[in-house]
Amino acid sequence: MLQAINIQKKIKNREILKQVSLTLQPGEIVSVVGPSGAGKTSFLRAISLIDIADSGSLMIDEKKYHFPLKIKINQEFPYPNLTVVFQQFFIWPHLTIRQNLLLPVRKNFDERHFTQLVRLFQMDSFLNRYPSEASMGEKQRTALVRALLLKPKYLLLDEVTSALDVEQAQLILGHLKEIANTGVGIVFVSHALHLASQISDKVIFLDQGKIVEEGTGDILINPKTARLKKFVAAAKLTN
Amino acid sequence: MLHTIIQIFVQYQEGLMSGLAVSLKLIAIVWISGLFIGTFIGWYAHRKLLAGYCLKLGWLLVSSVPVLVILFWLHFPLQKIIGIVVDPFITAASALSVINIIFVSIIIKNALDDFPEQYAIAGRVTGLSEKEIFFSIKFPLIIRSVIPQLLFLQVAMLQATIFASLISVEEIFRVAQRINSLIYKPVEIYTVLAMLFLAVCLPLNYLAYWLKNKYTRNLSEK
Repeated sequence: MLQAINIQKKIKNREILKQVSLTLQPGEIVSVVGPSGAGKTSFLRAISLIDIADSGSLMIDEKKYHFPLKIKINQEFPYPNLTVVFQQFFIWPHLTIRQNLLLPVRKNFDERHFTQLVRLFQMDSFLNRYPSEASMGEKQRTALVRALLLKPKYLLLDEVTSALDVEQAQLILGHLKEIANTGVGIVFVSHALHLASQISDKVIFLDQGKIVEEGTGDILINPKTARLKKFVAAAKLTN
Repeated sequence: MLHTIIQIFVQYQEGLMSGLAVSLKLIAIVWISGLFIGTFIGWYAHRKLLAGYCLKLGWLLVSSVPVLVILFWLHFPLQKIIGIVVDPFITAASALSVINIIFVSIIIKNALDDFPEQYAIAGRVTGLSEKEIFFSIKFPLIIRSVIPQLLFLQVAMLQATIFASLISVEEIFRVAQRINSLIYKPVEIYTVLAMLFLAVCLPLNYLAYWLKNKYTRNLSEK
């Protein structure tokens, strides 16, 4: 289980996360939604230990981290048991797409798994291209498959459908459900409510760094708080 | 004219070769010290804030004064002030080395400062060790961004060695001037000199240009 309790984070005296908590069971999909600047990505970076929170605690299976955390040499990080797919992909530009996929798994390469994922995400045609020669959608799939090849237990996804068309987004959502069914816990950060409501077991609505409302996917259909009602209404208008 | 050029080559082969040898010896010192010491200083200045400021200040000073003035200042006023006489070759090698070290350092420091840390983070979250991140991600990316600049700089330093002739270093340009004073055939003599420089600089410049084009394309996502 991944459990974040009362995560707080300040940047330049501005509180960007205020006592945010989350519990993620294996096989569960939790969506973190909210407007731009709500703190969604900051929260994801905090629970993945990319940025260290100012206070609160994090438990990833047996490993416990109490913040503020002093990074020690040989600190036991949870990677790649827990991994992250970033909104900006961060595909290594000097390596081909194939090399990007293989670099993290070169020591324990599972060819069958590799072939399966490459086929599933229709990547055969651009495996030998450099990232600069790939489209945004191709890069996004590369980032996702690079993470999936690691067979993580917890997968944290930051706006992974933002560069995809509707068909590709639906394809990926379908796969995410399948992946969750194999026992992988997924945190799905997005501002696309229609996507979050389709796949989530739980939804957390963040605004100005704090949880305004949380519950099942139903809260996106029948929101209780005025703030979420306003946000859902605005999303409906946009769609 | 071609006949005269060949004749000059043959007749003054020994002098030209010895001048070329001095130039190459000079540039070898400048290149080796610049690349090794400069890389180390650049790395250190990236890690230590104060060293970074000192390097920037040094770079501003050196890039604001022409190479020739630095060379003359080190050779004449400085030695007079201190009351010593240093071999012009050593003065030229020291001056050009210091300039190269500062320029190499600033290239290395800037490349390290500008390295997109997100690529390293992407490596970390996929379970790569810090050593793997350095050798598979950081080092290849940084090398790709600095090699063209370093090559262009080294060619410029090679061309700057001709200034050493003005403080009496017996390098190729000074030898050419001496031959010219004997036979007065400036067109042919300086054509010979240009050909010698072309033979060394052209491949280096082309390599730098090729690397720049190749890697700029691959790194465009940066």
